[in-house]
Amino acid sequence: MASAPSFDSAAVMQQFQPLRVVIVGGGTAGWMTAAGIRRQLAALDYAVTLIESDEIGTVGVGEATLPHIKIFNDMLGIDEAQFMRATRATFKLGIQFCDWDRPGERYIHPFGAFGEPWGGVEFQHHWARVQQAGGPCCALQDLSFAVVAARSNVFEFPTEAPNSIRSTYSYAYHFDAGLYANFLRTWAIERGVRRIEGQVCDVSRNPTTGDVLELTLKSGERVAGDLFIDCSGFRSLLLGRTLGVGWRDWTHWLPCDRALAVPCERIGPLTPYTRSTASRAGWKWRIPLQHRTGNGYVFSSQFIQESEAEVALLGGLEAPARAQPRLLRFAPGRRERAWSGNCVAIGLASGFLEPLESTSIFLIQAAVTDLVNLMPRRGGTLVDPRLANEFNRLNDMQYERIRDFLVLHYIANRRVGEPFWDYLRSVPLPDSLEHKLQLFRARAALPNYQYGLFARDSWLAVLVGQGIIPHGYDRLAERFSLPTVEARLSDFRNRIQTGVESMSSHDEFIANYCEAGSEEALA
Amino acid sequence: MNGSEALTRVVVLGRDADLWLCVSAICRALGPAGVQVVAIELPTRLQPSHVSATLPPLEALHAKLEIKEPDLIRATGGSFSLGQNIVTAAGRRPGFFHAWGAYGTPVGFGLRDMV
Repeated sequence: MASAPSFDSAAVMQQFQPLRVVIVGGGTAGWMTAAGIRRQLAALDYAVTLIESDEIGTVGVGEATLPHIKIFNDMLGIDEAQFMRATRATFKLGIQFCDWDRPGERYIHPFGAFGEPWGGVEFQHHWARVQQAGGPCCALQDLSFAVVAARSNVFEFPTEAPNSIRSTYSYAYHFDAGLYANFLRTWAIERGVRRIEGQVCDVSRNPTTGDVLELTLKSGERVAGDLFIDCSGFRSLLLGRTLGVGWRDWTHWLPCDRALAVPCERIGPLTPYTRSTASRAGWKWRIPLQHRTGNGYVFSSQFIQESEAEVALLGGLEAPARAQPRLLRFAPGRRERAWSGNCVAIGLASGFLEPLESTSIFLIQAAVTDLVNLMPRRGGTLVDPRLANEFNRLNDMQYERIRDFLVLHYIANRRVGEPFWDYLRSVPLPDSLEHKLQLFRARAALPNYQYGLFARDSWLAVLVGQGIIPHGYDRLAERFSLPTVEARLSDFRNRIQTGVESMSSHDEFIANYCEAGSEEALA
Repeated sequence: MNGSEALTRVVVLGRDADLWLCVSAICRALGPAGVQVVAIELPTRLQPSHVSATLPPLEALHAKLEIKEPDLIRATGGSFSLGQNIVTAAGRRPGFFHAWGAYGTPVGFGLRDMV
């Protein structure tokens, strides 16, 4: 009779222990990661611990988002009105860019389509053809429902009826990022995420593999884990400071390296859009929340002193400031690998792109999604380079595509005589952007990604907004006569006008749907 | 492509299906834009033994050209294909089908839809 196979009880037990996921940092990135993992993966398989310290501030200012955030919230099963009340949120139909092409010019990058494809030919070809023919032409901006609604300060939900003009847009939010993190913290803790208050003061690593084994907190408490997620913000405590993963710097393309943020009193109607105004050495943001307005100046320290930037920011406020301006220092770029060994960085710990197109929270969401899809399994190989490589490939792609889109805003300016803007017009472009730019000039062709940012209509909004005009178009458009297309354009514009006129104001809509009430009542 | 620079005449040189598919597609797409197509046909290289196995996108191209499928299949002595059966010559390993279609259907929430 054969002897019984040897029985390694420790190994067997290990197989049935949940994989220990330890998240360092509890800002938006930390709590979105914790909530995403908790919602998508079984608690039996993954134990999630988050370490955060009330003593370490988060970057969290007024935050503008992209429509993808709604899908994330829906995935968690969050009630929209409740979330909007808790974060004092407003609706967002796009971003208005003022003075970017040259002073006095403005355009909106909407969350929605321009026109509609006719005869299987993308809309911009029809529009470009009418433009080039020199006949009566509608301004591109008048052919987007979201643009016209935003300009009119109105908001209502889009419909799903495919033939309705009201199905041609989507929306995002402006909210207080600190309150959003709090909201997700409550959600995640109620569902079993363990929160530890404390600061990491030591990291112990496997001397052979370099993997992170255990974190020691100031209190002396030790937290062991299998997979560590670095959401420590700019400090990049694990990936940067501990593992020393290299940094890819993009300062030559995106020279802004400072931001000053200051909230002011809310006055005037609630705008359903973020505003970005080009300034001497960067740009200023304006983000409307229910109870206050967030303002900031993103600038390059090579072109303006911090003190001058502060004067410019405070001098341009539309209402009294409610706090002292807060300075943030950063470098544009990303870590060479966001996932290294058993450590994954999400959010600012993995890289930084200025908030010109509200992409910070999107990048967190994309990373959480990819991480959940590629998550190591208990009992399997914890550190599988195949999973890490794929995560890094996707992450790099997101960063580089967004980078190109941001650079586009800067290089196509006509602000001649201002050193910051003159420099940006002279910058050699990334090849990936140069190609897109030339193709649009030649043939009105737009990038068309299967995943990730940005969609065709976003490119169209910014290219045309920055004064880049195509010289050609797809001649498939010529299957319609020119007068037919001109009539369709003006009909489309009229349908938008009529649709927008019947909508309620953004203020009214917020009051009825999700008003947060006075701050005293909230406190 | 505006004004005097506009392309008006395309010459296609070739033979057999390559030539005529190319000519038909350009005529169909750009004929309304005033583009004329001239075909220069070289002698055929088709042998009586030649047959073509095609991929599903051909159906879409035929539809664009407004070719009626029953007419086409009748005229070419054609038949339908749902995929390719890949087998080893020696038959040592079981073959497999490369089918023109999906396997199963996604179950649950598509996380990829989020981004």
